[in-house]
Amino acid sequence: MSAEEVAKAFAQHFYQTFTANAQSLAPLYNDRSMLTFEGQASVGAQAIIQKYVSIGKLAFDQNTLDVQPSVDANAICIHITGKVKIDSNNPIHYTQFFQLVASGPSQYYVHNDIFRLVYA
Amino acid sequence: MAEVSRGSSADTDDLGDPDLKVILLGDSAVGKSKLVERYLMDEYSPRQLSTFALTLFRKNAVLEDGTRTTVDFWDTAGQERFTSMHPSYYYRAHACIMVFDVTRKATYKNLVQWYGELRQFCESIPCILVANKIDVDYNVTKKCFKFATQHNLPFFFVSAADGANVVQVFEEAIRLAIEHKRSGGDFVEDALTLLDS
Repeated sequence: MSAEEVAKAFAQHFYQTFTANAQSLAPLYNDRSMLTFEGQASVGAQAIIQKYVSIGKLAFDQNTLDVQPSVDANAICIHITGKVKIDSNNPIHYTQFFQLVASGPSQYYVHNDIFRLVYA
Repeated sequence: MAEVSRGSSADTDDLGDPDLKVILLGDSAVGKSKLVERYLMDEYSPRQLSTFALTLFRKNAVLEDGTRTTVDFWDTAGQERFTSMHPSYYYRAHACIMVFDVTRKATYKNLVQWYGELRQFCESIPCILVANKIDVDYNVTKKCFKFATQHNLPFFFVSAADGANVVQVFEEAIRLAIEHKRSGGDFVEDALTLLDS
């Protein structure tokens, strides 16, 4: 799988899982993972999942996805923009950055995860 | 008190600056949107400014003395559930309607944070405190909610569901907003704006 394919499959899986049941995102993270959500940092899978679960249900509409190789072929940087809907409210623009790092052949975990709502 | 006509609807094609800006604050799901919708019924033009992540309801109000005024009511897009409001939400607001849900104690406790954030951005604008969902149990109106007296805020029991007091709250907000604007507005904010420009 190319980096591009990995990124696309990852993003699809991530947002589907987030909307269905954030708890199920746990296998994507490990103890070295870090999340910065609207400026609030969480380190480690447990804290990250706790944060995501506390946010509640969000519906994502992914718009763009850009991919770059990181320091070597074992890591991929992904930048996503789109709209997120909170309950029945109007959608808000958001941006999210991930760095996936290989933990084995064709296996990745999320090392970095940065999320921001975008205002004019 | 100024009588505000509810009979006129907004001109949907012209998004110039309004005369007044009234913002709604409070926890997620306390009924902010429901209150605005209840007040305006069908006589409004909702616009989504997606870049601001909010819904803006414009209302043409006619005052007792015949003067017409346009009011924008700003409602959030639910982001208060996990983040604080962006400064643009507070920018040049003339009045605030702060809402909590009488059936959920946490929404009352969180007023401290909301009020603190409001005062950080808008030092002196009038703020009305509103206890929503009294239709669930009308006995709640016998209770005393200290937050209002502590901060010297006008206080209303309302129900977005059955409409109790809703019109009164919004008319009071418009009246206070006009008063605030006439008295010179938020001096500190204006001074900061001048310094920035």
